[in-house]
Amino acid sequence: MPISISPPQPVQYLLPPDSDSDREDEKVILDEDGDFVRMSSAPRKRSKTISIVTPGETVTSDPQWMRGHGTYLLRSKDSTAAAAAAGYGSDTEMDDGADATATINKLLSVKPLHARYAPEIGDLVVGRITEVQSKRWRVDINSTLAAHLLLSSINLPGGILRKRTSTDELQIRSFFSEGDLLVAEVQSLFQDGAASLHTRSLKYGKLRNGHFLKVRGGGIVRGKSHIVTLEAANGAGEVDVILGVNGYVWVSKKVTLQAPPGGESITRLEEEASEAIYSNVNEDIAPVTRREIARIGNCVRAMVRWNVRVDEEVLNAVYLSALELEEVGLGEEGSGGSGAECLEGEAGRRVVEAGMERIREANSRAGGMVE
Amino acid sequence: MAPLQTSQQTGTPLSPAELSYLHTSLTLTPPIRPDSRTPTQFRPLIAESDILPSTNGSARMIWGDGGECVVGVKAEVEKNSASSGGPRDWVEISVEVSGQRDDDAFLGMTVAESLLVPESGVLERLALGERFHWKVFVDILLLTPPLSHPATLLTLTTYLALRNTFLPKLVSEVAEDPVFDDDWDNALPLYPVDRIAPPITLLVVSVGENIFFDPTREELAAGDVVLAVSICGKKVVGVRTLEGGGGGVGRAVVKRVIKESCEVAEEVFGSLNSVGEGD
Repeated sequence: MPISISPPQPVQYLLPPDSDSDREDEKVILDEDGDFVRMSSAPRKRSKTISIVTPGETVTSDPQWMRGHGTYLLRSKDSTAAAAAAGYGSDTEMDDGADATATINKLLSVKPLHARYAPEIGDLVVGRITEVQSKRWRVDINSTLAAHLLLSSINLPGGILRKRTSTDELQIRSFFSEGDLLVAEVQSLFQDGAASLHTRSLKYGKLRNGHFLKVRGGGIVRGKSHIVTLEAANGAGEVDVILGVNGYVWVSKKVTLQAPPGGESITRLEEEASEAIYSNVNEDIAPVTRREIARIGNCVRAMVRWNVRVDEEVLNAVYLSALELEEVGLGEEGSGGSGAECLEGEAGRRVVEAGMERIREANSRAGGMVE
Repeated sequence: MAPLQTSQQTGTPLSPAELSYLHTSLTLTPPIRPDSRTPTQFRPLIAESDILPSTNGSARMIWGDGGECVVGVKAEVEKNSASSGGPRDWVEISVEVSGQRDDDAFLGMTVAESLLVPESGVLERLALGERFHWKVFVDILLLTPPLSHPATLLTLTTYLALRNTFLPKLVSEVAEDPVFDDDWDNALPLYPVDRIAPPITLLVVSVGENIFFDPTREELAAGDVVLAVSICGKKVVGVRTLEGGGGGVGRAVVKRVIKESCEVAEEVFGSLNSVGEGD
């Protein structure tokens, strides 16, 4: 079946937003700036319908409300008169008044449907170099402003504590050039909100041996760990998934740094690693590994598509479901599993639902054991 | 409208490591596409027709990644004039891509050229007696640019809209001023079922020995050559190179592209024709 064309579905077709599993009575809401807002869902007054407001629309003229994220005050009359939805996107979503009153103390905020990534210090991001300047790179991190990566905040080959010389400046393109992908951490923020990145750790640096994919901003929320290692099936070895908070994801074959025999010091290891750290050459990757990398990429995409939080636990479960689906699909069609790995559309939904079911089962089993 | 993705705007290239990974994956036998599709598999589409009430025919189509295309077809009666370019001017096509310059005539040209295939018989159906003819305006609006070349989305939507275009039935004689039947139920389709259907254009990218349909942006970047294959009925009516091809295209590859395009197009036509039948 090379093409599938389906009629449009109603909006409610999406899976309901996943509430945080450990705190049943609370709900984590990611607001426009990427902050977590914990809201108690105890007074279940929240209506099923989501009210959508557009930029410029007056939300309320009641002076009792405080202006929260995504809203502004109209200056025309007295300044406390009206709040209007803002946000750069065409659609903004708003928690309706009753809900907001009950939960976040008269603070009225609008949650955008689509938002760009707002960097925060400490975030792990995946970025792509867009421009090389004399002492810095400009990096696309899916934010409103391009991030900066200073020459002084990368690891130079040949020792971590080497002084940056003019030679390094001249050969800046030998470290990163336009189009290169890298994983970095947000080190600081400039006045205008642009991020300054650093790659001064062996975890960070240029990306190789894998495949880049991009998901909706806000699809990946900040969690405990953003580098997930999965044991891929079919003897494909281990696969690393780097979940950038900015919605850029890198799925690659896990490369283990070989500690040199004898010298086990950390600095020695870093020196060795630095030699190859800016190479553009991939290692040999077996076809099975490539297949699993593609499958894991599909899982991440489907999870974001169907509104499920992406972390190690869920990703593992969804990945297992995807593997199962392929086996089942083979039995049904008997046509050599053509396209059974593709997780777009309905197949993705089934896999994600099966994965969530798996987690619920595991949770209930764990709960049973405690009792 | 959502803003364009930065990397698309600036056209930042993919990194060498990424390109080589993609290229190797795609040249394997069997090839591995980044989203695990089979070489001839398309990304799932959502489509509906007859969405604009004031047009003669319309359609809307959405890719899973957010690319969306709306096409409206409107017909007007016009006097034949000697000064114009003749029947070639009877179909006017405008393509608007949000966030791009609108003088980029390339996409419109692609559609128009393939629409005016001589044997399709559309122009005969547009003639109204001796002095008048229909003028058909095809307005194509690309709302959010898909992450790949929009040609496929565009022509599939246009196909759907044209298939659903109905023109009022002429009740007057050939020499008279045109008078039409008031009843819309009697309207005639622009493309009757038993006649040659409007053409579609499919993108095909070739990497090494393999060819892929409906390539994503990354696959386009990693491809050796990108071909736009126009298919009308069961025949390939045009092949053009979109990108690459600097080193030439192998004869075997072209042969394969044409053979497989016909097979794939048949399925695509089948799926497109079944849109809207369900409800």
